[in-house]
Amino acid sequence: MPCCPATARMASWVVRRLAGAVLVSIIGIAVLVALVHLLPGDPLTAIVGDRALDPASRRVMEHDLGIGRPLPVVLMSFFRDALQGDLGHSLAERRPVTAILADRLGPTMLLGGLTLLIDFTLGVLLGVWSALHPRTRAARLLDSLTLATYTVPGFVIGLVLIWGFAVHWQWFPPALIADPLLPTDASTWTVLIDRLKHLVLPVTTMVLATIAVPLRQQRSAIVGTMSQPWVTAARARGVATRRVIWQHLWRPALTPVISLLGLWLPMVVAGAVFVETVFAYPGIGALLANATAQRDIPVVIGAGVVLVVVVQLGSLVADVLYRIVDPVQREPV
Amino acid sequence: MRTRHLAIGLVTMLALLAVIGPLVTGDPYAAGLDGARLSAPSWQHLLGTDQFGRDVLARLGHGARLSLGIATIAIGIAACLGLLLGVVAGGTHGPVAAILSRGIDLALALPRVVVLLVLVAVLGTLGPIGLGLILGATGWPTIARLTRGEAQAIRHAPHVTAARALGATPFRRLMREVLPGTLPPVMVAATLGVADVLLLEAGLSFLGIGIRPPTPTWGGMLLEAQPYLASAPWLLLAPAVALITATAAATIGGDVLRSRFRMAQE
Amino acid sequence: MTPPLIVRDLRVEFPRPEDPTVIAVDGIAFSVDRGELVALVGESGCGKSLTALSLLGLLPGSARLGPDTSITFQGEELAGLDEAAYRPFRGARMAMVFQDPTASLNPVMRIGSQIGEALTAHRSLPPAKVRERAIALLTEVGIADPARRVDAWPHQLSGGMQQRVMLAIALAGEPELLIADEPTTALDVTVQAQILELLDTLRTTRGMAVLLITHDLGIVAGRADRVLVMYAGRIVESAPTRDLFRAPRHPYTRGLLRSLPRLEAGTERLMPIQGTVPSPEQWPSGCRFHPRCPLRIARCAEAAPSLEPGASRHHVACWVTGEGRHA
Repeated sequence: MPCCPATARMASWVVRRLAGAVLVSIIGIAVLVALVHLLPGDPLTAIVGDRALDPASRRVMEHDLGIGRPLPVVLMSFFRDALQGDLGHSLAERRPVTAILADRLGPTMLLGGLTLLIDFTLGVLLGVWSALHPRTRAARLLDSLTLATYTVPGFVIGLVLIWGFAVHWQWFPPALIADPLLPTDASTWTVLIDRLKHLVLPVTTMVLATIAVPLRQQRSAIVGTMSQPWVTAARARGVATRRVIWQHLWRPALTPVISLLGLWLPMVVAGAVFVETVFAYPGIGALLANATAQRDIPVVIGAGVVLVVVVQLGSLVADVLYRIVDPVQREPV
Repeated sequence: MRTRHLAIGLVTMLALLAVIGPLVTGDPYAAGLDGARLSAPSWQHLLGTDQFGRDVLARLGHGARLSLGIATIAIGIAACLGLLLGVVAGGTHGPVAAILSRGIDLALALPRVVVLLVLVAVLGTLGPIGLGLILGATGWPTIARLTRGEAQAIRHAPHVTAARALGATPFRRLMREVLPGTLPPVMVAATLGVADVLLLEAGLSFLGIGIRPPTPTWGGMLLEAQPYLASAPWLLLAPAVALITATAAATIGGDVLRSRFRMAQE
Repeated sequence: MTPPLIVRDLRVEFPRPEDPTVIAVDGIAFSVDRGELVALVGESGCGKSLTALSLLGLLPGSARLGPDTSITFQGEELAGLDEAAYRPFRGARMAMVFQDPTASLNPVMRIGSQIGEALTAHRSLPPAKVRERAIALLTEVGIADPARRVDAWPHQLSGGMQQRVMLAIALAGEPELLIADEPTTALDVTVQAQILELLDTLRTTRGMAVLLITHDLGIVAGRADRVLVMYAGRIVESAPTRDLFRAPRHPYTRGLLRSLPRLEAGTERLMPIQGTVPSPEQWPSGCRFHPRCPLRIARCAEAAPSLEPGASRHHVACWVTGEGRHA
């Protein structure tokens, strides 16, 4: 088996792809910092207003905002500090931006991870199902439903769900990630149940707003594969229907769905900003929205850095997966 | 056929709402008398009133004007920028095209929402025109990528090679052969892009960082509806339905245009 | 003993909601004997591939068999069986090789696994045994270094090797009938000869019956026992190969033979048939070949001649050259 050259080729490709992702992230972040520096607007005055500010604080804030220094110097010092884990201080909270981001990253990963999981399992299953049962009433209903949820913005879905399930029926809490009144000595079980109850509505909202993309992509990939001669050939050699579906239809139709991950992730990031805000969910998206409203620019940039890196990582993972599942890429002739 | 009629119907409804709505329904800012606060839909107030007793239909109509106006500015800017950059990046050959092409890829790597929020944070409170400008300034990359791809395909098409053989200058080839060919897909993308702009504008206003109150916008109305979900659900439903109608119209309109152009090609 | 495959009144129809139903294969009948190589010859669009697919119950979803169609295989009726009831026949008793080997292999499965599927479709075998059998089959179809090739991906093999793999897959279930649908059309000329040679060898060593479907009369000579000539959804002539080449009766068969380049032909010019094959929606009335036929008479446009049984198993459906001309 020529496993070793293939693995080595794969490794060198991953390294090159990773270097590309790092470069794009750096330039992207530099663009965000440069926008702050070059555009008109006086965030310092906007935040401080007429209040008196002691000279030391003013210096720190001017440093964080890069006021009064040329752009290259600002960029250099931003990346130097960032490499040492320093993204400046929040103007509103007087805490290091990295500390705030650290608090918020976990909840966002949880929300995004669950959305990813459901989108790419339920979405794929429903996509396969509707490809295999075209022209049925259920498939048409699913088609209209996904088109509808795709058109309706996430925060509107969230508001409607809150109205129905939190305000009217009171099945699930309308906001936050945990009950603040929960006793501190509550059992793990109680805490877990409380967590799950708080996650139901935000996750449902995110899934409804994003699932149409993998579902429709999977369906059209399956429909495209159906006409491939290898499917008929597999049936001709007596392969059972279930195996024909998963091995000969779904498996080759997986690659377009994986390559979709890169497109899907920015959608989720955008969704997270609005959906997290609707549910007062303590994640990076809501942080970005609140910081923007308060013009807390170091936090805005910090949250922006995280989201840019996450999107780059996502498309990197998608590319690597794509290469793994496609034998033509993995083991060329 | 039926989808086309649906699209026309939706667009007509919105246009009526935007143009005639404000004329017949009165002042969207006028606070009602005490008794008229949070009143359910009635003959006097077809869509009810909000927490200040203001007429929801009047606010919806004004919101339609604002939203559609902002979307027009934004999509105009995005389409022009995207078309220009995409045609040069895909339709020419050389260092300029290479640099532009890299720039388009880079801009695509930045999530639009993140860039938008950074811009809002830096620029502060924005009027409708400012909002339209930044929505346009962040909308061009997808259109530029599309245009670039089309332009690359056209550049190598036989009729362009023929024009080259006849001695047409590069600029002339770009303007006469490449640019017109990229227009149909760009029109489709721009129509579909209207839905994105409407959603983003409503989203920003919903976050309280777009158009600020008391100016009526759909997103702002959704924000104000949040505390009254139980007592006055019409405050949520009216702007939500308007927003969904508008985005659906843009999405269906884009699909109709696409199938039109595809038919014209065949 | 009865022939293993008997097809009677095979009709393949495409119902359309608003327009009249399209009949792509119109009531053909034939049989294939044990160990016999029968060639079904016709131009593309004449319905020969649909005939092949219908034998294995693999017609596309938009097509259906006619109500009077009967396909019996070793005495069992296949027409009208559902997917589950058909499965025991596929691969095990009848197998099929397809036109485009590159597209007929699943690109994301190693070839060994695809042969393995055919081996385990109808019986259970331990994995080591499956691999051993797969390597043996690859050896049988003439693939060099089979122990290594069994782990190859389809894209790593040439077209000729891919078709050999398809043959190995077809042989895995030890079928009594092999249907080969244009097995060499997608291949280079030199490879074509090798694959046909292999097909012939396998038929002899395994005693399989073969239904060879092709548009190329040239590859039929010297290999097939019997030839069925198909035109526009019907069989127009059926004869032992030697008789057909020596004395073709149907004007269409004559045209096909005349358009074939021959080494010994000398001064004789190649004669293409005038016109093109009509599509199923536009099939003419009467004998479907009559608009292109140099011998046509008035009757040809009015009624369709049937395949009359003639002397020495040579049948022809023609008002002018067939036995029915005096009727």
